[in-house]
Amino acid sequence: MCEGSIYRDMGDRQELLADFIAEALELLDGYDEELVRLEQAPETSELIHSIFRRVHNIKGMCGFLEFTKLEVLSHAGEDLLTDVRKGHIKISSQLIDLLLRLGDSMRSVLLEVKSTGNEGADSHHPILVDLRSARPTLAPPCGGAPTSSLADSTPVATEAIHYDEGLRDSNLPSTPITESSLRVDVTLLDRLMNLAGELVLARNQILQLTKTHPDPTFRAIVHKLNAVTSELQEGVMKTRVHPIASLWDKLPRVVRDVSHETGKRVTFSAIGGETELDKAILEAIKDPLIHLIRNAIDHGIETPELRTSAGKIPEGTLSLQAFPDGGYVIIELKDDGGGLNTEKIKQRAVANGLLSSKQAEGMSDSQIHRLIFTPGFSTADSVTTLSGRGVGMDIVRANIEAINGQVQVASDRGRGTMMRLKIPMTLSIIPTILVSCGPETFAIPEAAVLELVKISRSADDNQIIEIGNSSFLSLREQLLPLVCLRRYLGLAPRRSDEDARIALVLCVDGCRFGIVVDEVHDIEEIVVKPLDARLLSLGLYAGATILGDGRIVLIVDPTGMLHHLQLHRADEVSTFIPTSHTVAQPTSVPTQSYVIVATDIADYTAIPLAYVRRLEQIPAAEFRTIGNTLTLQYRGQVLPVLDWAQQQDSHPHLRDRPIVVLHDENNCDIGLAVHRIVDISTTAQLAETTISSPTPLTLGIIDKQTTVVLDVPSLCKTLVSSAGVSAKGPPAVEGQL
Amino acid sequence: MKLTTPLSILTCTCGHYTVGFDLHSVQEVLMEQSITPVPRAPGGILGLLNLRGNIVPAISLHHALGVTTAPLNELPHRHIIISLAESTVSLLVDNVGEVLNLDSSCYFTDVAGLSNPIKELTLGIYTVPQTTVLHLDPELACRADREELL
Repeated sequence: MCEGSIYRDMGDRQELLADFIAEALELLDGYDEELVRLEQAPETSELIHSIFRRVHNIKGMCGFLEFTKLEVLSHAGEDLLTDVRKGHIKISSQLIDLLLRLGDSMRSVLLEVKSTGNEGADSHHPILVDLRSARPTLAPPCGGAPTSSLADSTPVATEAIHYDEGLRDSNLPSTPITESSLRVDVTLLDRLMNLAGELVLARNQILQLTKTHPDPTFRAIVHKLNAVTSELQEGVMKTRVHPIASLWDKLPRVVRDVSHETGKRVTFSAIGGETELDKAILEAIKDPLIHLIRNAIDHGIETPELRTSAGKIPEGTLSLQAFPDGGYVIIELKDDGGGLNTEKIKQRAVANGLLSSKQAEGMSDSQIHRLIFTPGFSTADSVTTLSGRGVGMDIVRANIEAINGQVQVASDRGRGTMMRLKIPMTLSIIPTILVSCGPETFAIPEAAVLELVKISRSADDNQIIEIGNSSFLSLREQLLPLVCLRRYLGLAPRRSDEDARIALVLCVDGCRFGIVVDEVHDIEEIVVKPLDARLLSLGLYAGATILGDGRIVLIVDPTGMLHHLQLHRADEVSTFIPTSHTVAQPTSVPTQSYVIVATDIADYTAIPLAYVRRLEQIPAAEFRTIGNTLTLQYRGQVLPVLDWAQQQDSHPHLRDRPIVVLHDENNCDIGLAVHRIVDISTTAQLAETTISSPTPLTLGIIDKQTTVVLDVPSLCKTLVSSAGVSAKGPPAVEGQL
Repeated sequence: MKLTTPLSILTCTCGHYTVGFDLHSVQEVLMEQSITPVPRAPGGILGLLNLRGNIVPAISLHHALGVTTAPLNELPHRHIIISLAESTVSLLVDNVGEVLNLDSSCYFTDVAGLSNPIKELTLGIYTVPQTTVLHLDPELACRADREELL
């Protein structure tokens, strides 16, 4: 009995402590926000009172729980605020700074208590000294101005930060938040959500039966049950969502701090704070959003002098807007600063080796702008404490993509920049595409799917190309690695070609590949349920879900397929350049895929996959020898064909041959006649050796074979100039003929 | 080992074995359920079961005991839903017997001469007239990655 009561007491204390910390942190969140508002409206006595009450409340609570450090801190703050309240101290930037620092110190003690259970070793001596020295040292003699270290400080630049009126009104704390809300364990909410989901399933089954039920009273009851169930489910879902305002309330402080540090003047407004997001998502976008705001002020908005000389008002505007859009929430952050400097980004990208100057020329402004999300990219001329260290925007993108969101940038030179975040409303509900292979149904996250391609049944269309054990989808002049879902999951192969087949083109981590399935059914929003650890560790599935009819469906993990294909994060640049510009740069990719062919030069001749447009089997009758060059009519143009057999004059060249259609950066196409296509191989960077007999050849080892690596651009150049044809212009070819 | 409190076990049959589980670890017993197969899952995991909105793995006790069995759909079977420390699983057995209150005089632990996988999974042996019940450790029995022991 005795033991039991001790345990209960300890449990009570733990609970009390957790409540205290949560409540105190909440008080502090409002504290920062009110201080920033006070700074630009120093006369608002309600704000001073409210700030005072918050500190006073924290002091009262920690006295009760015996947190001496926190008590000393809050006591010192309370004393100072008492003076402010009485009007002995003028409100200045320095005072606000000091009080914000006090808030930070109290918060750090609370977080320490939260993680370790005690107040930590920091004595917070400097802040205590500053708090005390800020108070008037002398009682004002006969009505004279009180003196304090802050007394002669400059008044606040009241125009520095303005807020959206609506936000201000909605945030005036009339009653503390704790009175109107309850703390509920998240696991309890999850259970309720599960049960609500179950109820929905049972409801669906009853609805099925009701359709044929003769009794109208019964049917009416079922319809009522139906409506109540839907409403219940909606309500339970809502318990996990929070208005985005709970995050935005922290942002004015960030804007204030950064604009002070950079000497810029910023008007900040936020609209749509009532938009709701899952709590976990809110937590996940907090840091990226703060980073974007810092960036916008540090790099986007110009100094007041620059703005004035550019004919703008000295204060920059930073506006944040959130609104729901389908199953997503869009958050837009706009500034009216200088915008992105396209030329500078281009130069930086070329200097950093992210793309060649030739590629850079061919890119549109928006493509260039996207480069700021590339890892290791930064345009800041100097590294400041705020930003410009080359980490940041890529991390922002990675964090947003980690929660299945997207980030986009739009910029207008001289007029400003807009960052647009597309965030899913919840983590646990994701849109998926339901596909099937025979009787089995699987879900594929829709976020990864770019497009669906119907695979035609006739084999001569060359839509699917098999090389060795790998298959490829030929799509708009590109070869995409292809995964057959049946083979990937070890399911029985299809019995016949009767079933329709569809390829889904996926983009994961910047790599594009295809998945072949039998059928595509529907897009459905599903609730992701956790999977047994042993099944998760297979690396094939991301989770499972239960459909409306009670069936369990596995969610295929596209990242796992990436590993299966041994694809690696592709060169960032090439992922968003349209196909026609895509030329992978062998030097900038950690691994490289080669098509291995047998030619007259060597049994193992490797062609970098990026240069391969198509693989074709061409009947002998279609070749024409023009001058010394073998040519081919190919898709409405004349294709010069390189045939080493013909050059050496030792083999008859007029026979059916496999042709590899190659292209270089300039979209100059040539054909290469080979004996056979051997395999496709992915290897790490080759250690290359160059020999010179009789023409220079580059050799490397691929799959333990000495292999000749073809220099496709120079082949294209020599062949096209020696043949005297411009691969781009069929009319020029006809002129030659 | 002396048993201080009488223990109740639920007996089930699995192949030619009669096994028992501590009644506390058994959440419920279900009739045949539809199981969603999981391609490429380890041999002991037969698939997934929808247990009132929770997805639980269906694990073959035959596999754990090394008993050969006919395909799932050809033999009657029962699901014993077992709550483990960290998860809930469904263990497939041939049939469910009765609840026995253990009499410590008929319960033997540390029986020498057992071979794996039985030795590994068995906490003790309970002898009742006409049969012998293997008292199994539910945590170990529900581990599907036991191939290396067989």
